[in-house]
Amino acid sequence: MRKIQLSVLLLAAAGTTCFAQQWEFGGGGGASFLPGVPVSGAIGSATAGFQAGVSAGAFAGQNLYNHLSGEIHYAFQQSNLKLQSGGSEATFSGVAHVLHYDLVYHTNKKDSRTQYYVSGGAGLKIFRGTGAEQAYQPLSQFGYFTKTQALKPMATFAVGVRYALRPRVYLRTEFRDYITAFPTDLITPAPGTKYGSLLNDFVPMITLSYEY
Amino acid sequence: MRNGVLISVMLAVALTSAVTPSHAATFGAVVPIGGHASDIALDESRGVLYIANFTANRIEVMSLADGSINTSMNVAAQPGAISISPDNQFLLVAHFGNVKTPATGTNALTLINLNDGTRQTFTTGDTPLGLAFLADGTAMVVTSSSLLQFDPVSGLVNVLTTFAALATQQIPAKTPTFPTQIILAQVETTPDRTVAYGVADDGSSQAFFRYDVRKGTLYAGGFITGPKALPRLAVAADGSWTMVGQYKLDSTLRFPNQFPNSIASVNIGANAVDSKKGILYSQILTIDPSKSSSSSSSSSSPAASQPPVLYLLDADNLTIRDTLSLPENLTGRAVLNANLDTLYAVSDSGVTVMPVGRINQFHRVNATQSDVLVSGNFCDRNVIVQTLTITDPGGGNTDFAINVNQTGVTISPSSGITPATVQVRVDPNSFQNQNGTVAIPMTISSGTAINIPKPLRLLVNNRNPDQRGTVINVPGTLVDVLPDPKRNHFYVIRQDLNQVLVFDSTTFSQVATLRTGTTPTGMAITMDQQYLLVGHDNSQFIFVFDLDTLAAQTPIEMPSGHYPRQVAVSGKAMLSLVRDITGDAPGAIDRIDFANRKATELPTLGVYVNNVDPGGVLAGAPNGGTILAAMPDGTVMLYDANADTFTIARKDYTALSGGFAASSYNTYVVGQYLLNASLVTQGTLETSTGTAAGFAFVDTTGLRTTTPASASPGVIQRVDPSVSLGIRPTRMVESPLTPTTIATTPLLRSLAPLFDHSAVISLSVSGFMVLPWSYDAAVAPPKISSIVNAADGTKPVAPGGLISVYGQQMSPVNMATSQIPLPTALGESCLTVNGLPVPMLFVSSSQINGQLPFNVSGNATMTLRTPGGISDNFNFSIFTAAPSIFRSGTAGPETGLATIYRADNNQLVTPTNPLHPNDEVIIYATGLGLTQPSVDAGLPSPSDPLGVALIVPQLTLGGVPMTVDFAGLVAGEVGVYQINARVPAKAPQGLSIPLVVNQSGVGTTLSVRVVNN
Repeated sequence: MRKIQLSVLLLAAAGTTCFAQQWEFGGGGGASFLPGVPVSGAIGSATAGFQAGVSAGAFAGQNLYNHLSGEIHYAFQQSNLKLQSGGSEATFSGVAHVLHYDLVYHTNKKDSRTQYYVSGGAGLKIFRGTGAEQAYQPLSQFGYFTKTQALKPMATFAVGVRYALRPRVYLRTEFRDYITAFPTDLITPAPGTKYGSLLNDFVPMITLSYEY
Repeated sequence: MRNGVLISVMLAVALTSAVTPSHAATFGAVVPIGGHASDIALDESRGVLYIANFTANRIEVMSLADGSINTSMNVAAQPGAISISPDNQFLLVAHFGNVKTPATGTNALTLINLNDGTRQTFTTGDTPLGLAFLADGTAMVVTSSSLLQFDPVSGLVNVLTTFAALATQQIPAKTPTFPTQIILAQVETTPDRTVAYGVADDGSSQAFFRYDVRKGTLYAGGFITGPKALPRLAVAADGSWTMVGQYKLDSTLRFPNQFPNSIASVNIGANAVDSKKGILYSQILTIDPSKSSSSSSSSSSPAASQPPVLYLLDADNLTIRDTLSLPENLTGRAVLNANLDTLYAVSDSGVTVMPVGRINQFHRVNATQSDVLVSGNFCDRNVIVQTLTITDPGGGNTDFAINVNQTGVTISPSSGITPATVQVRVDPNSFQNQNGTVAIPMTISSGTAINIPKPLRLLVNNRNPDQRGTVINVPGTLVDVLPDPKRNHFYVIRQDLNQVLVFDSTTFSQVATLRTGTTPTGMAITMDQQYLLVGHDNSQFIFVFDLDTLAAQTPIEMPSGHYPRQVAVSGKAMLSLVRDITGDAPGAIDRIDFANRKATELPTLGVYVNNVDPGGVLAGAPNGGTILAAMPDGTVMLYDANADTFTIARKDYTALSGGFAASSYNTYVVGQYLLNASLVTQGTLETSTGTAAGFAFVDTTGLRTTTPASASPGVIQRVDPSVSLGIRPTRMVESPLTPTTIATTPLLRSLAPLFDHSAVISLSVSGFMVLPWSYDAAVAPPKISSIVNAADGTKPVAPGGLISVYGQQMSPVNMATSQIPLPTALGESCLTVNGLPVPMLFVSSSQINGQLPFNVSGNATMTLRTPGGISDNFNFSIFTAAPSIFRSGTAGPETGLATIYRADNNQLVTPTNPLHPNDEVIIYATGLGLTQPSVDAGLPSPSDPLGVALIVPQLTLGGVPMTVDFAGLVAGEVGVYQINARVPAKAPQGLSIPLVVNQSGVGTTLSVRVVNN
């Protein structure tokens, strides 16, 4: 937890450097799609990852320039852990928390009614396994679901459109990818298996924001 | 009023004493009426019971609240039957006026309006015998010649049917003749009064009728039974059957059940049914079962001297649930109140009130088991201790005393208060000259218990090394055994509980119980090997069970009153030898139409009259070619399937008893006689080894058991029928069951060779014996090759620990036991360590599991004794402690897991259920050595106080010490220890963290997964 607190402080400090500029706050929801990572071993192949789930979050942004702004984001994701092999699937309840800071480049000026934007940033993702551990778990030959948590550094990229519904009120739609190392604390590879290393989390999201 | 105060006081005293019994030890309170009661009617709306006082010409009005009789209604002479209308407005009284001349007949009905007290009298020509109000407000009246429907409002009488005049008794009657002996009829209805049953007696035969009020249909018929049914009726709530005396009759006068060993009664008896609970409350006179003959049809001397008892019976098959002592005999109608918690019955003094809904509040006493089996053996001549639990089924504290009149047996404590655990100590040396099983009756008595405790036997066996077989204790009356030709099962009839017990023929453990009709007597399996047929001595039906599913199928209905005691199948016909309770002949042979589940009496048995001894038996040849019939009177008969008739009947003997069998090779055996294809004696088997007991053919040869006495070892031998010669007679562990042992039939099937030739089953004194198929083959001496602890199979073992002993020729049979204390001889094997017997759990040819005694350590020597002799000494070491964790855990399809549990979810620790910091773990192990308090080997561990390990084990997880909260024996288990410990907060994490259990320098290590929270 000490790492999380430090990260929040750094991001907050970055935000204060441009405090005199225009601010934007918003919140919204979407879905989370994680294709998982391949699992290989002598016993066969499988996929380890997370089921698709819901994602909800909020952000605060600061328009630094006509084409550039900075935003801090938080999102909560409900996505169950999953192992899949052949027609079999095993799952385990799980959630994730995401916190990151993005630099956003707008294609049009800020007073345009429609803005297209791309963003990139970095932050942290906390994975939590919340299910009930069982003495026997299906597909345990590939991995073990664990009731614990894992904190992973994260990179994120997004593209989106911001449309002014009326003055100062915007509807944003974006498509985002969270990229982390695979959380092997939560889905621990069984002996003799190898897991892919990077986990993509694709999140389409709709957000309402207010600017002042 | 005249007796009101006195009666109230008496009832109050009786009720008080019933609630807190002190010395009465009977159930129910008696209300004397100063005359002879003939009938009762319950009026709960007014809180009273009307009692017809036949001899005093009164209707006594008894308060339900306190049992006092504060009012008596004077009525016309001889009120013989009464009934109250459904709306409680009218009380109808039948006056028995069949008087001898010169007196004038006074037959009449009195209708009393209970609301305004007005009365109307209706003269009847014939004598009114019984009556009952129906749901439509009319009353059904049985007279000596007709069945009437009486409308109390209009006074109209409708004649439903007439019948030949009953030879009713006349007044004055000889002394002592009680009212119900004069009236000889009763009408009873369902609680909703939509169905009425009635029985009227003409002195020899009886008239039966059933009237359905809703449909307006009447079924009537005459019947004769032996013994005669006493007209005391109870009717099931759905109207499907009625209990008449000792007989259960259905709506079409069939006999689904008869109470066993019942005898004719002229006055004593009563019935009432609680259909919600499926209980019949009955007093039925019986003969002493120990004096019963071949069937229960005896109608010998009435047992008026028997203490009066109330049976609580299963309504479906009359199995006795409990037997309660009554203060006096019940002698008429019995009525349950609407709540079904109080039973009122006409009795000797007037009425007896029985609070049947509060039986659990009365003192009762019983043992939790029926048999206490004590097996001495040649490894262990020490005093053997068995425990016996005495309880009050209602959970109360009841005084008891146990008496055993036998030298060498002590009971401690021999008296006390329930619940209590009693130790039965048997000194085998007192039985050293008795190598069979001695069955010693143990009697339980109580000064306050209202029930008759169930029989209890102490069985003491004291075998020698040459005796073969393993005893499996099965309490109760076992009367037939039959192996399944296709499945790993064999079937045993337990007659006293109306059951067929299904045993697994590899483990010899009971796997199912089939509920039968009343008094099952014989079994057969259909030629397609798909169905088990069970005949009964007290039911008109043959029960049918599917042997794949063990589910009951539609039973086979026999002709009315035919009880199918024996069943046999051939390739052509299925036959049943029946006891006929209604016909002239006491027994007959019926042919079964299995497809239609019906049977008909054969008109003749070929050229012979179909009149047989009902105590006879049938045996079908395995090839379906013939069926042998043998009678206790010496008659033998043969049914030939090809000729489809009986072709032989002979009587060359004055009597026959013992085993019987038919072979596929035209050879037959009855008792000691070997018969040829014409049932002519071809040889007589020897009797020097004792009375003929069991016989079974195995292809062309036979197996035979004999016994000199029930307490002696029996003898089994192979028989070559061609020379009538017994081969290699071998002593068995106890006596086979003989007709004299069970005293219910002189001909008995007690021997069952299993079809896979793995073993021979013989019914015996204690239940049954299992004999290895090659019981008489030369046996190599046993050999011990290794001894390991039973938990993880490693070598270190400790006192009190569970062990596995491996070797060769260790036991002729595979056998496990759940007997407690663990036996020191199992199957035919016994182990000793330094001369001390080892309690055993399991034996097989290559492995024995047992528990090391607690009082051995250091260098030790083990020996094994079997029928093959004694093994060489096996030397090994016993450590002070040698903890080892069981590998018996299972999770999903995974087996062989270490028995380490997380207390959080009570599941095994596995990679998917890892340990977390601060988790509490429970480890099941053996080999933790001595405990405080100490526990004897073979006995379950105590729960209060728990047996704590004297040497506390040290546990580490990844090198970090764990806190041990408890280490000691698991309560109720034998040789199983438990360690409760806590995962350190700073335990290292990983997939494979070593968990070490160390005790006195001997340890065991397992890898477990540990994760962070």
